[in-house]
Amino acid sequence: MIHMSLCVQGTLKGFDQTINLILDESHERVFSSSQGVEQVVLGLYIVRGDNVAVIGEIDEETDSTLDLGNIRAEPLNSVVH
Amino acid sequence: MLLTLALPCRCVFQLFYSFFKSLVGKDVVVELKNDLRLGYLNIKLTDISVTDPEKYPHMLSVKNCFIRGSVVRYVQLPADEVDTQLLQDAARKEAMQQKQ
Repeated sequence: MIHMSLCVQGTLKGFDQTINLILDESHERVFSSSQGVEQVVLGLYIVRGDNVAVIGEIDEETDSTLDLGNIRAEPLNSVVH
Repeated sequence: MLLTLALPCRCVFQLFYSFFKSLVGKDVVVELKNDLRLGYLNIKLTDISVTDPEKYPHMLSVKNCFIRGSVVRYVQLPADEVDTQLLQDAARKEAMQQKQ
């Protein structure tokens, strides 16, 4: 079975000590080595903390300069403990 | 990137918490268990840059991030910031205290 890490972007509405998250207006950025980045709209998500690896603060300025159509990359591997 | 500690740890790890506290403000590299390398211990990083941005463009728009402790494979530290002898001695003392 192939496992991958998801890259989900949204507005962080809440969290707790175990890093459970509430993410609003979320969308997944799907990276592929053959075509540009695809954005899949997800909506309101509650994510269990066990599944969270990294939470990054998006710099709106830098993000708006990205040409998603031209980015080619392998999807991130899933976490192996 | 700058390393800052996010959450306090239990007293068992008190020694390493203090060790990491002494690293606050220094540059480190963090490698994650899913092979993504960025510049029970959660880590907050400011002003990050990915080591190989071509292979890992996923974090291009991220300057600051929070990393869940359970996914950190290891943290690469600048060698001249670490006094290994001191650390070894302190760890040994801590282990002795734990036994009692």
